[in-house]
Amino acid sequence: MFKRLLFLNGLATMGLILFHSAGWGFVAMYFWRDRYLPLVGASADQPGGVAYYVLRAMEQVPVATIPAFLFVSGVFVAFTTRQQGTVQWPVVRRRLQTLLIPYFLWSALLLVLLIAEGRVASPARIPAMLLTGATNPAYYYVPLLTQFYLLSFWLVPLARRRPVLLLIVAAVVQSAVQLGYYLGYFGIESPLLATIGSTPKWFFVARLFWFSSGVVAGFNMRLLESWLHRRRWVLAATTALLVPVAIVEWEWIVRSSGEFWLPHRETFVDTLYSLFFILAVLAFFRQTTRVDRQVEALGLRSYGIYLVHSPVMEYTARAVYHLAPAVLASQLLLQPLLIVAGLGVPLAAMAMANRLPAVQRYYKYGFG
Amino acid sequence: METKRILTEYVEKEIMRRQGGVVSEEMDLLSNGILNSLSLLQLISFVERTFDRQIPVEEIVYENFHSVSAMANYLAGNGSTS
Repeated sequence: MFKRLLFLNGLATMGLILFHSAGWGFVAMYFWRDRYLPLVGASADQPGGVAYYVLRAMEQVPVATIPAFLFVSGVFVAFTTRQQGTVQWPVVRRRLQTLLIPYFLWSALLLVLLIAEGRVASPARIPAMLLTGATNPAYYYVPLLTQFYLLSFWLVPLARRRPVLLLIVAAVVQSAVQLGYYLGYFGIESPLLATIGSTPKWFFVARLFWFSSGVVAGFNMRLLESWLHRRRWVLAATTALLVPVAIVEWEWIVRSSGEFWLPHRETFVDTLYSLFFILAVLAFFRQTTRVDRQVEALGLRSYGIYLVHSPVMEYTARAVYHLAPAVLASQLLLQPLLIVAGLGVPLAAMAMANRLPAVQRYYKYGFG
Repeated sequence: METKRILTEYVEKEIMRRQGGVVSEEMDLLSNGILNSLSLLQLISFVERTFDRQIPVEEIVYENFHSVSAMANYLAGNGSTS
């Protein structure tokens, strides 16, 4: 089952691309309509139509992406501890180096582009942008994971001695943040929960359960393996069932909020879905298919893809906006374009860096 | 010796992606930043395929996989379990 984590990571990487592609699809649908409606007519008005629900599904199914990445990292941290010991600082230090050097390099590049476009309000904001992953909407994950590696000195002993307590506390803390989101959506006044609900995505409490559950799973793989295998079909069926439930829940939230569109945040149903998704993928560890190796290969390149895909998708979408606005009216054209660019450009860049002798040794600084 | 040679070659050529550097048998692959969460899984897959054996999850522990020497020792039947 341990090896199945690589497959899970590969699925999460594919999910990442789909999620952000759907995000740009919504931007085209809601915020760039003025670019295509004069060209293609009101019949291409997409909100509420088939395209809308396809995008919602593309956004919903990969909701488990970040939970899966954090879960896999948690399992790895459990592996790195000696049998009776805790996390070793040299291991954490080297792991942070491989995460942070590429992160800062790509962030610096994006920062230059943002400054050139006049999108950085003040130079005083730059340190905070780098520390919180604000140079790109997807980059919050790196500061988030960094915090978990540093917190692992406390989380690992807890996961060893009090695993159930750790899981309960982590679930309660994460749920409190989500409860704050709900109150925000519905405009309910509560200063305390409003503060909790404004917890940024890069702050560890917003995702504490996923990394903690990975560490606990890492210490209990044998137990988890037999438990999951017996329940694999129930887990798969529940996962599939939770997709439409989560879509309905989000529709209800959007309509109740009075807004025409909301940026997606993790809900209670999403959390449940992500948990079942991770467990279901792991539960089928004895089944392998011909595509497994390809998915695992993506999983191995996940960090490089993570860092590169989001800016590439943004610039692709913006290029379409300026050069071929009629494409924005058709998600059938726009989505494949974004997906191919989002996955293809990072993979091509990584393959090139891996093959060219002059840059081979710098690969790890660019892609981890 | 053959096991160690195969493992060393794999780590140097595949995990380190031809970035240069040499792996010694006792080198801690984790604290030297050579293995991360994903390359560890890649290495375990390689070991299972190459040596034609299923590694039980309880035997995938730091003590058995932190160095080429530890892996060879484990594959020779002298490893530890969690």
